[in-house]
Amino acid sequence: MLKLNILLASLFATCCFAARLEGSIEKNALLQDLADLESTASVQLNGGEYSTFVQKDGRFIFPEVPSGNYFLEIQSVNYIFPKLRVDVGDDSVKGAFSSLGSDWSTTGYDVTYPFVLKAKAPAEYFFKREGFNVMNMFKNPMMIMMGVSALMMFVMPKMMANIRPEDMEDFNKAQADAQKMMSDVPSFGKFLQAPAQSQNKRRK
Amino acid sequence: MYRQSNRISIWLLIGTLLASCIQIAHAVFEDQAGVLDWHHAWIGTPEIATERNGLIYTVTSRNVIAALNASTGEIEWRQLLERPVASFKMNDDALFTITDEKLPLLQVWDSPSGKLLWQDRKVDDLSKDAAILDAVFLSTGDVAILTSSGSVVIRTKDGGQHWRWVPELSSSTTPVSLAEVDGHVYVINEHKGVLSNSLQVHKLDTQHGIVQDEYKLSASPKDLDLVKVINGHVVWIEKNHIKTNALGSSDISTVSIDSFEAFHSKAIISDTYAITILDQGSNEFLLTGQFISDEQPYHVAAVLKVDGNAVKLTLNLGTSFYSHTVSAHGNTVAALQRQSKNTLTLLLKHTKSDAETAKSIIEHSSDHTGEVRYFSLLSTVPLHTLVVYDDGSMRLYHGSDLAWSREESLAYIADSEFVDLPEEKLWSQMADETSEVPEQHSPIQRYIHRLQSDIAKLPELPQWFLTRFSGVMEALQKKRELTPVYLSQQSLNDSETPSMIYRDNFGLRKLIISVTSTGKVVAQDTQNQGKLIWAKYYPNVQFEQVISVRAATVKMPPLIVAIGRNVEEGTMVLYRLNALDGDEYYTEDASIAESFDPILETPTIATKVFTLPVQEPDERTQILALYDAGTTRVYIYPDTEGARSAFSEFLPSFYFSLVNKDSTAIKGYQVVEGYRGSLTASAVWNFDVPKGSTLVALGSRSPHEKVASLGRVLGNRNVLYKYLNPNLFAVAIADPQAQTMTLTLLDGVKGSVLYQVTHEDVDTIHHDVHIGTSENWIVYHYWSNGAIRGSAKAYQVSVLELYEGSGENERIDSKSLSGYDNQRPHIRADTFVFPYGVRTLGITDTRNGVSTREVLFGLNNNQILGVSRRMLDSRRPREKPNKEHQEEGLIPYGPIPDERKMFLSYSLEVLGMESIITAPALLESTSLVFAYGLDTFFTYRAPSRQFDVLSEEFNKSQLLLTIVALVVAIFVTGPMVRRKRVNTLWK
Repeated sequence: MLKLNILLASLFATCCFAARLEGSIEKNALLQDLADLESTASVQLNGGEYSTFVQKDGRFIFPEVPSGNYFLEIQSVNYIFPKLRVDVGDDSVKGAFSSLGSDWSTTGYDVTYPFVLKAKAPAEYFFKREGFNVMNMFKNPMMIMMGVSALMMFVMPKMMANIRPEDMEDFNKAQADAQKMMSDVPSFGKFLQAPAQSQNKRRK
Repeated sequence: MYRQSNRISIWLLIGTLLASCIQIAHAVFEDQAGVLDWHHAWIGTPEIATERNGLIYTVTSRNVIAALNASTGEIEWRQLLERPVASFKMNDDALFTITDEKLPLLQVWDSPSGKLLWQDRKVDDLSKDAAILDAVFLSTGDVAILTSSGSVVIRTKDGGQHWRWVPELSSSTTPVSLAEVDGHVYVINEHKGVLSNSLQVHKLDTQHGIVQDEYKLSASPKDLDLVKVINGHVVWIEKNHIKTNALGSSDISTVSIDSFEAFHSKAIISDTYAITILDQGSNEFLLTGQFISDEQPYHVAAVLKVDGNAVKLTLNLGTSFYSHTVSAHGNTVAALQRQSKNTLTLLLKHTKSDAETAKSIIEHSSDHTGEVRYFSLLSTVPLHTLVVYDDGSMRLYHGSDLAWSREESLAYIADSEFVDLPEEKLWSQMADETSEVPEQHSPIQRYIHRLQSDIAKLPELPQWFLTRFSGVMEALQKKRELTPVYLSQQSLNDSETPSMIYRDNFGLRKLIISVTSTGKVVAQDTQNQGKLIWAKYYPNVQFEQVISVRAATVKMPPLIVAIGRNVEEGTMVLYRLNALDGDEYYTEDASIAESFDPILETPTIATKVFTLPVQEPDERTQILALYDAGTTRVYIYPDTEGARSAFSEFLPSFYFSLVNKDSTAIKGYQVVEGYRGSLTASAVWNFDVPKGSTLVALGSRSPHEKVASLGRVLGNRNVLYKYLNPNLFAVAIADPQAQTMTLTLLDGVKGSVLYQVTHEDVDTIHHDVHIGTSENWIVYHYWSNGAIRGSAKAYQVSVLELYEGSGENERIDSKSLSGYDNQRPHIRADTFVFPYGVRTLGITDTRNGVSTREVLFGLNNNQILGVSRRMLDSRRPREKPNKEHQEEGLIPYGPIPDERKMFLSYSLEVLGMESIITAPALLESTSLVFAYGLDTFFTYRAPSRQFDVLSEEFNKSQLLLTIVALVVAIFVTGPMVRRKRVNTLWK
């Protein structure tokens, strides 16, 4: 294992070139002052393979990064920053926007080097509590149903009063039909009761 | 094809949206933050501490640099570094640290905010291999750096290079140090000549780096470490002489050490002389030497002062001193000495005046903290001193009064355990029901006993109502005055006795017992911001493990066993303590007292300690088994008659598995009884790690875990039966060369491989693998390089679910699952992209295991993310969810969202997390979570939301208003209905 590591290390030392990778965080409407960025904010390549703190002036520098491609993220407690795909060549550094879980070979827009990154969104950790609101209470379906039925109670008799006697007869007949139909359909309650009753009878 | 993929991505989007909209996990609200949960930020024990502008700047043994508020001890800022700090210096607005490694890293920090100003490892562009050796702040604010090649580099405040000076050094010259005196930089090199050795001094101009003077001092110190630069003077020791040179002149003055009173006529071995610099700005230094009398080594120490060309004795400390207890600040030297068991003496001496040494007494007992490890005189007017003790706690004294303390031992937790508290009414039960023998008393008698004790408690009834009511009142005044957290981080005073605390109705209040590598056992209340309940210190002990061996029962206190190593004696120690007050537990049963001693010290050091699922009958404690790999013997603890017979019943099923010393194999053992009842572990099976591969992670189920349901009900009412094997464990083996990681599921009893899967394109060199196991599923977290087409370069988390059969409603045709059957589970697996790197992981544990579990990821960025098991589900549909999926409550497939609302620790930074432990509350919905490492963090988690308590959101006013509205409606409509009835009667 140790031998292997030494071998790998010597391979890296001889064949791979290392480039300097740098960038900076700039203020915008979200992050109005770089002093607001917490002191533990850091920049990570490949989820922590290389890591450095963000400096007070917003810059971050990786002095020696072996050539290859890297996923660059900014770890900040209070702000969310865009993520980048960085390709480090022998003497060039290229960057493009990337996102979590996207196909590594596809990237978004290119970012000019040295990278300038700005906060994308503030980090929100809390759910908003819904306070008491009279309107909310009335938006409740139960409340609406209650309201409608109350309304019907007042409106219906007045409506009935205005109906012509012939129409009233039709209406009554239709209602009677509907009720008859309802009584023809065996109710679910009876459906359940029936076997129980028969069982009871049998027991007797 | 294109459309297809497009549609999938839309579903992914909807999935993530759903995941963020539907609250599938515990919600944290802003007004709850810091009310029930608590976060104690720690720094470790200071190794250097200085005070400036009301802040104490310190570097600690946990590689933390921090600024503490001098009047309260609160942390203003801190940074956790990867490597130990070798050098630390500061000026008015910045400080720098040089780390201790092959190529040291110089980091310059802004001292008010703690932000990095700049850092560099290779300061000299021309000689790349030159490592940073030493550095100083110049009066201009620039930093002068001396490298191992002898070059001097001046960097400006923002890291830009000002000038550099490269000397022509011969191979026999080694750079020693550099210093600034009166606007000039002096560089000191040691030259080894053929005939004599010398120190070469170069005087450089600070503005341009031009050599202005160069001279040699003939000197042959034995060791370069003996050459120190003390406030503009080079001081070194040659045999029995101290030699000094004021930088800028080539005169050397020599003083014989014997001429000082402290060292006079003591046969001090000249090799043992050592100089310690006490303060950057003062001329004082500490000289120590050793002599042997009656085969006992004695240390002699004195504080000396360089004054021009003379060296004077300031304070004779004699032999009654211990190292690191001398400090200097400006022209004052202070020393701390133990006077008696309960008092320390603080000696103060001003070196400018010939004033007498001032003495003051600090009351402090060494029983609870051990001796002084580090002492610093922070300021003289007013007198502030910082004292760090062996147990890891630190205290700040104003004069001789304690101003504040920090229980920094909790930055060194080795293991922690939750302990249930006893219920108050049971605990104070009059009749001791456990001592009753059912045969002796008739049921009626026992009933009368109980009735009597209940009647005796009757007077407490009004009180009970009152507490109930006040509890409601308290809940109504939602925003209670919270005490600041730093107060609960204080150490206990000598006089404080542990207060008795009891369980609450919901079992949310427990004790967290932690053992530390500094020899301390600390019990914290999960409520009251984690206030310390008791603490106990054992000198020279490094604790490794704590096991709760008995839960609280009627009249029997809960017991813990703290296991550690006595570093001085080289023995293993086990302490059996009462978890409620920390006292060593002595049994009342005289017949077992001899083999139930609370302290066991043994020269056999156990490789592993197991908690067995059997209790011994006398004290009802869980039996522990200690396995010693050297002799393959197994011992039981406690070794009483009753324990032996209880153990013998368990013996036939005592199997365990262990990773061998160099992690090349996992071995399974069975414990068998050998000659004269001695127990030995005989190897049953062996699982070798292939050559070139390394074992990177292990995961097994918690033995306490409860499984509520044997199967998983699908949308179509069919059931997938869970494969629940208590002996199952998972091993991750990495092959760094092939970039693969293989996860193997093994049966711990017979060693058979149940399942094996290899992931390609996994980087295990830079990233750790973590495994979590619960019920019938395993989650593991690793880094995928994204080299395979279509894959992402990101962390991934995979889930393996084990079922008894491949199809629905299929079961293994057997009443019980036996380890000896050759049944293999059917595996369903899936992998999700994960947004963060992970340091450790834990899984929530609830009382009956009904609540959906949540996997708690302790992240690299010092936060804790809770991911519901519903997100880590192999059945998440990739297509549009159909009705059955919806009924099963499946979330469409997608990456684990980077959703900060899923963070348990919200915006807190829990630095240096090493472990997350969980315990159930009495409420099924709630799990207690405790994370430790450097910081400690405690919170409650309800992974399926709090279904069994009225949520805090529950709107009591809405309920009341509705009732009022209904009453009003009844009063209004009642007469109306009555009138209507009357009217119809009239018709």
